Amino acid sequence: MTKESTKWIIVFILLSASTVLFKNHLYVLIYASFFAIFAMSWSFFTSFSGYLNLGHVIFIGIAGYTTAIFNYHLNFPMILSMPIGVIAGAGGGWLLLNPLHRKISGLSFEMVTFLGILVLSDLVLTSYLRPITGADLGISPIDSLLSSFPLIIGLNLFMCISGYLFVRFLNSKHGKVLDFARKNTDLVKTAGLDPHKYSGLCLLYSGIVGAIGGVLYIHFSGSAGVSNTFSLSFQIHMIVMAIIGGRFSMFGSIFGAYFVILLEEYLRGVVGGPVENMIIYSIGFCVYFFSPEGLFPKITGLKKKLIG
Amino acid sequence: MLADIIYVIIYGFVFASLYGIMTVGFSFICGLGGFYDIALPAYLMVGAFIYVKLSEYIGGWALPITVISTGIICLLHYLVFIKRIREDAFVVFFATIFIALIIQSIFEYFFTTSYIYNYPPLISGHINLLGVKLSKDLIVGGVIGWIALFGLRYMTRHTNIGRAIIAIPQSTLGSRIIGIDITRIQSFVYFLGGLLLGTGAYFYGGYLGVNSHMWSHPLIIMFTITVAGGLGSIDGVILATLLIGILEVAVVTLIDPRLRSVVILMVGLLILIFKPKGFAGKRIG
Amino acid sequence: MKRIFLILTILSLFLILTYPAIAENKPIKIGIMGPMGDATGLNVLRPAELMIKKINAEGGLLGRQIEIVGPYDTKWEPAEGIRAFERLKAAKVDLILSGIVDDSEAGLLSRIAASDDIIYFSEFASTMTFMTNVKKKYNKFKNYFMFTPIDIGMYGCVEEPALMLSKQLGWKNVYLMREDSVWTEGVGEMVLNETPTHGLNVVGFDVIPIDAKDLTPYFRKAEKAGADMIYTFFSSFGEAAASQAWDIKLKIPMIGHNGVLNDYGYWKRSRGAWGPLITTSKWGSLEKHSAEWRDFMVEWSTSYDDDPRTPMWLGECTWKSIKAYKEAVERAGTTETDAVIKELENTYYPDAPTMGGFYGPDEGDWPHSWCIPIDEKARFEKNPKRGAGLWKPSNMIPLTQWQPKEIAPASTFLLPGTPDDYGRLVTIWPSHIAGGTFQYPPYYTEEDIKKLEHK
Repeated sequence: MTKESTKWIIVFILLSASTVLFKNHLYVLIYASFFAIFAMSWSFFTSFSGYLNLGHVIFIGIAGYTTAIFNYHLNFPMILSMPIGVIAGAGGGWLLLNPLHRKISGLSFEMVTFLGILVLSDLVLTSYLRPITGADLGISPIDSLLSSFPLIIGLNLFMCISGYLFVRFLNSKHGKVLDFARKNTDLVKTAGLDPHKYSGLCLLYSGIVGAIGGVLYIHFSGSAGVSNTFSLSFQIHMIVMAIIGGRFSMFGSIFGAYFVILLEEYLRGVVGGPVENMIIYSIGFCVYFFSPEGLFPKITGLKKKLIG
Repeated sequence: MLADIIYVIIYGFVFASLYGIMTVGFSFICGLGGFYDIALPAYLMVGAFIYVKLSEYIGGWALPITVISTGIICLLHYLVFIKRIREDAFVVFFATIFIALIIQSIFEYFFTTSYIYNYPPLISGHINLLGVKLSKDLIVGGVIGWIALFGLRYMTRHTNIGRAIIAIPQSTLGSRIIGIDITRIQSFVYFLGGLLLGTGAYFYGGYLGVNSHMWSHPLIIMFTITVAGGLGSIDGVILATLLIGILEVAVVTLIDPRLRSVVILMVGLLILIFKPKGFAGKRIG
Repeated sequence: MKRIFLILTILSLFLILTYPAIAENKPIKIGIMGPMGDATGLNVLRPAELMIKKINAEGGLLGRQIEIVGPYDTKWEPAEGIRAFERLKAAKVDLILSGIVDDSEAGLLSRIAASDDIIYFSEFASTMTFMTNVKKKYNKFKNYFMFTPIDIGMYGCVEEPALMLSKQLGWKNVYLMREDSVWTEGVGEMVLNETPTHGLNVVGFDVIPIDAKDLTPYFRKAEKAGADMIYTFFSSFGEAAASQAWDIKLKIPMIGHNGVLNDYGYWKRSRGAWGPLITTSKWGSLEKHSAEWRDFMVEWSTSYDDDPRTPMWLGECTWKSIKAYKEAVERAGTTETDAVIKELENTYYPDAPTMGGFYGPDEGDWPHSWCIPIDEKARFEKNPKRGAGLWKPSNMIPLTQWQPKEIAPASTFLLPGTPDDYGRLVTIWPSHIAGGTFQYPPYYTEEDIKKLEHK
């Protein structure tokens, strides 16, 4: 067994053990795991390919709406509609974003995905699509996954496996090329390689994990609406988590998601929503401004200092 | 039908003027700075609230105070935050999103999200232009907006400081070599842009109401206009302002209001994908 | 050492013996959730705080104190709604007062159905399909109660006063403006289909995107269509519509539902933009309402310094829902869910600003939604006759208009602390609680009025 897989097994065991502490508040951990999956898959593409993707929710959204449509309108059972959603979400999102990232780069890619989310959410919200998407009401009720031990354990398992595979990819030959391409595209090109092939692959993997998380999230939410799919605030929420935790490592995203969700849950009873948002955003801002690599490397660094 | 078209052109033009005065500060700062500063629309909101609260006590005298304080706020924003991160457009984008969201939560806390605040215009009354009713205050706002746009155009072409402003985003290193003090120039840009934002805040807030999430709509408009016009080009911004203003009124009046923001956003999106330099701009990033 | 043992033994014996009594006296928990950064959430929280404080001071409910759990902010996001609901469920609350809107509630339905030990009061959602769940799957959804009028009721409280004004002033042509969201869709359909059958002409309509800021193009369309009145179904931009109409001196009166428009602070926020928009509200002409409601309004407006100091729609829903819960628990003699549900199905308030109540699963099509008897006279009785097919959705949300001091009836009740030159909110419909009549805004000339009134 490699060192990397041991790490992920430990993370899985730790997270699963923590469910015992939260047995009455399983939903908190479930949300944290969902957002960890989203933040991790977002930062996998964004941090390592050099494209800042503000449209990661496209994968989640297409996947979520597809499974909801199949489940609600066509009465497919959840177990069938979910795989269809994953294929549609990962495939559809990739078909949209892959050519885009080949054509434009840098700040323009960021802006296009930013505007793209706004267009999609506006389109879904107009009542033209009410018969299909339910517009602002969303598609509801759909088959629901309620809070339970199997759900959280399953989520953690999926999260750890995909995290492990992400790291494997980054350490592979493909990952190395990707890393070179991010630092110096021309160098890779002169070596006769197509840098976009590798970033496209990276985008696809990030999309598949996002889409699988997305279909599960939609069925956990019990409805598919704009705010849990194509919404900018949803996107920003996961970015905040990745930034706070540390967007250059998978553990950072997981740490960030758990940190933010637990903090939100603690603050919920203490202060109102605006103050809660203010605190979270301020933490995000301070982390981003003063320690852009995030909190997780800081903490592990501190540990190393203390021990070694 | 003819009446509708006349309406679209006249009202669209006046509405574009409103967008012009609101956007010119943003386009000026971002276009010439070479990055997108998302916090600026939030400062437009701050300016509007300053006017709402002050005008309760001192009436129209609140306007100059609003304008100057918005200018100072933007200047401080530059000196405290942007100055350190201006080299990296990504960092500016994210850091300013955080700032904007923090400002929004502060205003949500004090003013809730549901209430809209209004104030009477300084110049009341209407004129009737070819059957289109227009508020005099809005017309004054539009005139100021166009003067500002053309003034900036003049400045960037015919004055030294203007040329320096244009030079910076094209080559930071080059400008430094020829002895341009980037911080001083950009502080000036931010202060001037802030004054324009403050003026825009009065007209925009007076016409459409002031509330704690009023910054998101200006953000989209400012953003689309700047993108469509092209970073670093006042001419492009002038064209884009007209296009977006008239397009919005045309969609609402002639097609279907439900498509209003979709159409505007699509314009921005398509321009970004197929003509990343905008109408007349230089590509950055 | 021995002594400590003795004390401990006595203490634990005491605890064991008195445990049932302590358990009996453990507080009743009422959970509150809604968007708290907003007047919406505060319209659930504030009435709940005031009423529960009062009930506790009077000795509690069944001798037990009531404890508020929360408020948990849902920030207009369905995911936050789910988290708030799950948190309340984990806290083992007896009752949830929820101020979330339709899209958030849609995501909660399966969770509500799976929590049969909690009674769920929906104070703000109004989608009719939520209600049909209760009819179709009563055993699953019987813990769900909707205190807001459903679509048919909302239609009625615009259509009926419009017909009254049409009769008085001769207005004939209606223009419909509704925001593009789910709660206006049913009512919008009804206006297009049913209003023409009442002798009015629908001359045009607009579905306005919820992020619209400038309403003047729509006003112009209504003017061009020759409308005498505009029906509005707005939530977020009611205030913008009112002040923009005031700014451009729109000469078509607007009638409808408009979110927070008529709360106490409106007059100050809008700097006295009165008249262009008359809208449903719960605290107009308080002199005509029941003393209980009036006293509550006085208490509310004096207890808080900032807006909302008076209720919008769901503020009254929260008031009557706590009242209904208290009475149902007292009648049932327990907080046990099924017994309380049975008693809630026997609730009826003829004197609330929105008169109405609930009935059981077999008496009509909308059990657990706010309904009134079809029989005109029975509406005003404390215990109207109950039976299958006797009920219809309540439409009794009063229609009110802001009027300046000089124009409003002198008898209009003023909340304590109101400045003398502040506007008065006058109820103009329904007639049994009306304090005044519709007044034209000051910029209407004689000629305008002549043109408008087809007498």
